[in-house]
Parts: sequence; C-alpha cells; structure tokens
Amino acid sequence: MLSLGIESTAHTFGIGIANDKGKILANVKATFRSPRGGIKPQEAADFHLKNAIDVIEKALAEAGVDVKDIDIFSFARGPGLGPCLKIGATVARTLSLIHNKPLAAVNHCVAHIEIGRLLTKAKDPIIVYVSGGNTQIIALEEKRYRVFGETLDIGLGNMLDSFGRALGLAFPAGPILDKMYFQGKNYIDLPYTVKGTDLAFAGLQTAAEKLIGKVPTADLVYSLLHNAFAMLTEVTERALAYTERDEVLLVGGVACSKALQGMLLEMCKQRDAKLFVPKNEFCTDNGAMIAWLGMLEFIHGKTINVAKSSVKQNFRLEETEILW
Amino acid sequence: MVKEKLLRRGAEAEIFKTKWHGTEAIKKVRISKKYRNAKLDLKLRSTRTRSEASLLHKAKLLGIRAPTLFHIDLEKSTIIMEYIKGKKAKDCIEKNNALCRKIAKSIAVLHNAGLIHGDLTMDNIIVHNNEPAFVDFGLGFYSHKIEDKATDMLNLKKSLLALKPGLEKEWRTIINSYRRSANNGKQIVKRMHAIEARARYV
Repeated sequence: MLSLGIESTAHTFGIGIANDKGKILANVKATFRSPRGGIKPQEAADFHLKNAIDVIEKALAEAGVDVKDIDIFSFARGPGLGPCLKIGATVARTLSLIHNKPLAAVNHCVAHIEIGRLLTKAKDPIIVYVSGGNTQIIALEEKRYRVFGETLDIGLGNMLDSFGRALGLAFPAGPILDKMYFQGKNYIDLPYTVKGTDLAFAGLQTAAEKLIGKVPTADLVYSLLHNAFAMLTEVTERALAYTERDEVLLVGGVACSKALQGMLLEMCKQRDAKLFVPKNEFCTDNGAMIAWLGMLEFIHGKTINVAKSSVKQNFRLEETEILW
Repeated sequence: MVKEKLLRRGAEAEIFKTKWHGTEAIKKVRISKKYRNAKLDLKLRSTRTRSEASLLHKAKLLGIRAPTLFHIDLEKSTIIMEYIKGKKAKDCIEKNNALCRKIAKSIAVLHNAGLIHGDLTMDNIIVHNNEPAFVDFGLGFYSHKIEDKATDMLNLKKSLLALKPGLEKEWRTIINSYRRSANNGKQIVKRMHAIEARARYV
C-alpha cells in the first residue's frame, strides 16, 4: 500500500510517498524564500500553487510509481498558515476525487513526531519539538500526545530568524547562527526565562538585540543560543524526571542545530538517557511525514470525507487519538 | 558523619534524606549541569538556592505548610530543611474534593502575598492527614502580576490533567475555589485562559 502526503503549512511545499511498512520512497520539497525575510502567507501560498505539480511529479519519479498506484492521499490539515494550508488541502482533495481514493487530513505536529519515531526507533520518548512556530516538550500519555511544556510567547525558530534579521542575516538564519555559536568565546549575561515547565523567548531576544554592535557578534550569538537551548534542555530534563522516562526524541526544523543537539546529548549523558534525532530532511517540514501519518491513520480506519476536510489553522496535537 | 540516603534525583537537584541535629531532614543539592556554561550554571544554582530559602520562610510566615529551613550553603547550592511526611498529591487527588479546595485556598494565600511558586505541580504538593504542604520553591519568585499568578495556575492545571484523562472535575473544583479565594481571582483565571490561547500556533 502507498500513501502520498502533502505538506504546506508554512514555507515548504513537500510531497512524500511512504508504504505501509514505513519505508519512505520519496521525499521532495520546494521551499519559499522571501527576499525580505519573514513570510507573507499569500506569497507563500502562491509559491506552493506554482510548484505543486512539479514537486508531485518529481516525487512520483523518485519513488518510481504511477499516481494510480497510490492508495491514500494525505495532507497537513494544520496547524499552519491558512492560505498555505488550503493549497495542500485542495491538491489532496483533487487527487483523491480524480483517482477515487480515500483522503486523510492529519496533524502537522503529530506527523513530525511519528516520522521521528519511525526513523529513529525511539520507543517511549519525551519529544522536543522545535521549529519556527512551535516549541513544545511532549509525551505520549493514554493515546494522546500531551504538551508538558511550551513557549508562552514566540517559537524558538522564529526568535532565531527574527534575531538573525536584526543582525542582517538572510532567512533562514538558524544554520548561520548555529555555526557562529561555536565561534563565540565569552558568555554574556542574558535573560533566562523558565516558568515551571514553560518557556519564554521574547525577553531574551529583546535583550540580545539591544547589544548588537556593542559586543562581539559571535559572543552575543553564542550567549543567545546558549540561553535559549539551555532553557529548552532544562525543561526537557524536568519532563524526563517527572515522567520517569529515559529517551529524548528531537524533531522540527531547529532540531538540525548542532548546538542544540550537543547540549541535549550532554544532558542525556549525565542522566543515562538516550537522544534520538532524525536526519535533517525529516526534521524540517517535509511531505514524507504527512504520508506516513496518513498511512498510519488509514491502516487504523481513519479517513475523512472531502466535504468535511476543511483546514484548521489552530489544530492542536492533543486532538489526534494515537491508535498505534 | 550522618548517613545520607538519596531519595530522588530530580531534574535540577538531588534530594537526600539526612539528619540535622538528630531530626529527620531533607538535604537538597543543586547539581552542576555540564551542558550549560559554567558562569550561567553557577548563577542559576546560587540564585535559585537563595530564593528558595527565602520563599520557604515567607510561606511559613503566611501560615502555609512548607518545610522549615534548617541551614543554607550557597557555595555548595545546598539547603537543609524539614522532612515532611506524606504522599504526593498526584497519588491522592482523585475524587478528593476537600483536598482540591484546600490546595486552591493555600495557593490563593501565597498568591495574595505575592509569592509565586514557579513550579506548581502535583509532584510538589505533599499531603498528610489530607492537608497539603508545598515543597520545592526552587523556581519561585515574588510578583503581584496577574500574568505570573495565571502562569502558576496554568502549570498546576497541566500537571494535573497530564496525569491521566478524566481529572477535569478535580481541576474545576480547584480553579473555582481559587477564583473565590484569590484577590483578582476572576482576572487571573481569565488571563490563564488567554495564556493558553496565546501559546497556540497562529
């Protein structure tokens, strides 16, 4: 059985193809880059529309299958930007209707987690999900993913991009900042905001931006990232202790950060826990994760009627029942 | 040398059972974390140790059950305090309305005095004779901001509802009782819902 998944929640238009054994046959994406940085939802949506057919064809070619071989079409229903979500949804509905195959509307965050579990074989991890818009520490409890702690203001990835813009870096700033992190030598005192199991990044960003030009840039970047990641690591460790687990699964675009990986690894080592991180192409937004979650839902009898498949910008991950 | 027994290796501290001049006591040592910069590490450990000691004392002055402070050592990030016997609230909260109300009223007393716990969870409330005691003020601070009180309550809500599904009734008892007892209770609860909504991806 084959599932074709469509990701279009934000910058990325991605198509993935997965079979029912969890083999990823294709994972192709096109990523919108705004010349000014940031994202205007309608511009990204136009980009997705323009690239949709091309990405689908590339994915089918990569998998070596015909569109008629696909058994289920899946799309990311949310959370995400309305105009972007609608493109993925419309493409999926169209394919489903033309080929008379079932449709699955899945949660983007759950998809990040499920592809991570599939590829790393983590059994019962605390999940650290960090991307542009999302920063959450999650655990599976009683068939639902529960949020143990999360950002109270902005996502960690957005904070890095926005700080990067203030430094004059191009989008995405994350990879550049991550390299600069390792060049920083002196730690500069910056706000560190952990409220129980929740985090806040806006104060840290503001304080750091005020120091731009006044202190060596590499030191500032080092200190900013260090505080942000240390906050995240601290809450992750608290979740491990509280739920008595010994595995951490890191997913989402910011999971690519070597600085963050290193810090979580150090924390895990100190308490005999294990860190799992999927390959970069499956950390950032991708179609394969949507295909795989669509397949999981399909196997467990969950599909959706086209008429009821409207997108949900604020789709919470707790809403999805984890039947597998 | 007093014999010490490691009770718990928490996320940020190790908790030992020890003796303090013949009395059963708890020794809390904040552990140095290799993952963070030594300067940041020292700053976090010593400020948290100091503030925890101060908050414990303040809570007692308010008549709220909390461990009595015996000794504090900032260099070693260590506090020695009273050992409070009892069960964790997470193991006895279910269908216990009286306890829910007592917890809510105690938090209201703390909040009315501007004392924010900072890590309000079902793990950090110890219950003895159906009376709650509050431990681990390690992330606590003073504030009269609606936002900070609301964050405290949201934290408690999450820790309760994450235990297992079906504890919504217990949560309603807690939050309703808190709203009545806390100054600006209505506003705090309203803000708590706003914070929940704010954290959502838009």
